[in-house]
Amino acid sequence: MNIQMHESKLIYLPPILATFREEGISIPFIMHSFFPPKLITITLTLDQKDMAIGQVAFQEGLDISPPEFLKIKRKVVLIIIYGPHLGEIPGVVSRLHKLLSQEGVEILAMSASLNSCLLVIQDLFLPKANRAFAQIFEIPQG
Amino acid sequence: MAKIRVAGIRQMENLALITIAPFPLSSYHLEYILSPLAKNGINLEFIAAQGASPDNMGLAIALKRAHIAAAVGILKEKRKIWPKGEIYYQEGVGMISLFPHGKRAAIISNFLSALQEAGIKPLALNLSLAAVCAIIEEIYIPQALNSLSDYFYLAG
Repeated sequence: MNIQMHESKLIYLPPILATFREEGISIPFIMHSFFPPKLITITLTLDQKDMAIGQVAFQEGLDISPPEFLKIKRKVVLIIIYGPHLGEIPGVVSRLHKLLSQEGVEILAMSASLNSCLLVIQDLFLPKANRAFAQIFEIPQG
Repeated sequence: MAKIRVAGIRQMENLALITIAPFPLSSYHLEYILSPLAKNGINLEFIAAQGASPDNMGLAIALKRAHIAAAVGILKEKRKIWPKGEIYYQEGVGMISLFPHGKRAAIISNFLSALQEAGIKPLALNLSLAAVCAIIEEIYIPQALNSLSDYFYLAG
């Protein structure tokens, strides 16, 4: 789910997320940044079964209406790459994207900090993404 | 309000934030600009790439303040692949990371509430496997930590 709103509406975000907590909805991925200027872009992933409630919570909480400011993509997958020393090695993310680019994987969002990197892609790209990961990382089996 | 137990809170200072917007979000473009940064030994402490539509994407990266001049120089050299985009940068920022034990919606809600209560605008925010990370102006880190202590307590 992708939401774009004026930065003054940021104050409504905690109560909306409190609703998620009350409804028992987990948020595996969320990020927000301030671009374009004066606007906030929020990207979050939810389980498909929680999407309807999530959509209503944001629409009512922010008083916005789709499709202008709230966009939903279904059938996406969240990939988490975790390595204890990932954050200390320059170039991990650039190598990752080099291989994803060669495989033709389109990404919807990504974030990286500390020792993990999170990617959101359409599920149809998962086999190609896995091929890329296998070339870069020693992935534990099992 | 019940405080939420967390495994830890970490702060990083002396960072700089670079935002590029609009930026075409594709692995090709990301690799094109991140690779020369890595080759020059510039490590990125924080990356957030997202957008509402393919022509309205943005990229935010945080790195050590000592690397800002080199990084901006490299990015300007690579600018031809995103001719419409602007490079914004801000020095004097820091990162606060909170290590939760689950309850993600509650953690993020409280995290943002704590920053709001302290009058702090997060410049960028992301969620990794182990932590919620926010980039804020460095001068506000003490207030942020103080406010976070009203919403969270450390395990043990």
